[in-house]
Amino acid sequence: MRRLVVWNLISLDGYFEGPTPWDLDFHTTVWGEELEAFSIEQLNEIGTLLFGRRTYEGMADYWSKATGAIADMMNAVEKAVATRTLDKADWNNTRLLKGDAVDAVRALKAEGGKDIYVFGSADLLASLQKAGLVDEYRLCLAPVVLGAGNPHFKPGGQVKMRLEKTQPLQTGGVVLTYASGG
Amino acid sequence: MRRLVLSMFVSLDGYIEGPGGEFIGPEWSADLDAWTERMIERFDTLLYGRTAWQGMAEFWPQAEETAEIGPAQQSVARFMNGVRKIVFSRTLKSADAWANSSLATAGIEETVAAERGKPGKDMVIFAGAKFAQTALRAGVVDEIWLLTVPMLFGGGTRLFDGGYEQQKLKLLEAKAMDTGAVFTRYEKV
Repeated sequence: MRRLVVWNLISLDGYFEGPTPWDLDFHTTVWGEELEAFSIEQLNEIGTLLFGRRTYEGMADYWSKATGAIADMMNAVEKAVATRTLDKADWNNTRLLKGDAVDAVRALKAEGGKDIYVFGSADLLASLQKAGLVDEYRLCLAPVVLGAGNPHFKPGGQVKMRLEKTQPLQTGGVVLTYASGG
Repeated sequence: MRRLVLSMFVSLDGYIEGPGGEFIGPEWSADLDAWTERMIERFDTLLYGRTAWQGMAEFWPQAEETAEIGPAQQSVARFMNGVRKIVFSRTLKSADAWANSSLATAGIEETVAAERGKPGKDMVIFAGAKFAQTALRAGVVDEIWLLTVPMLFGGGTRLFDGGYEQQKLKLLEAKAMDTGAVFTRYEKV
């Protein structure tokens, strides 16, 4: 069984984007050499990068035009997108997960290989969380309050977590790693 | 210049109360005792909204004499009863129910501004969801201390509920505690 790892940058007030979609300006408060090294190391661990449709489209648009080590890795790694509406996906190495997202992700986890990572995709994540499919959370807490935005964690049930790691960054970000389920 | 600190327990999903308005406290431990000691060292004035003050006014005055609580909590009780407390309320007529409490005679901005100039240790707000939000919106908080408990509440009262300006902060400290809670300390930049 592959593990499912969630990675996201969130503001201190819990938002992963500002009030408008893809308003990610707060990323500049934590981005730097340390987070770049962290991202590259993390990308090496990824078997499948899983997205909801909205995050997928934004990522595909951004990374397919970008250059550099991270862009090369993002473009090469296998992607999966949970969608009811897309019929095709043009970003290199993408699989479409049609139908019920939870069932599809359960099947994806049952496949062998390296772990599954979810970037962004807060709505998909809420369903996966509810179904108990998330094994690990890695959150970079940015030292900023936005005042408004889209919350990373949607309302759901009570879940105990186990803190695995706390990594403060030079920029003032703190990377927190939790195992889901206490 | 005295500072105002907002110090709160918060769940990983950002709530300070559970879905039914219940307080879900952190696990007690050696690290939490040390953390409490640090609070006691650092502050000499507590700011309260009515609800939290009333709740604590029913608990702490008797707690010092209660045999069931341990020595660490008795020292907390002595601090809580002895420390100066300022209560913000439009409805309370008096704050006599708990020693060393007084009613604020002005709004939070004016009161905090006046207190800053006085000698002494720093001020803290450490309880009361609505009052914490009021302080954030008023922009009077200099430092934010968060003890993030390793749990998703799934719903409830958010600590950060909007209505304040975007604010970049400086990380002063990040420390994992023995319970899996994470203590982070930020100041305004």
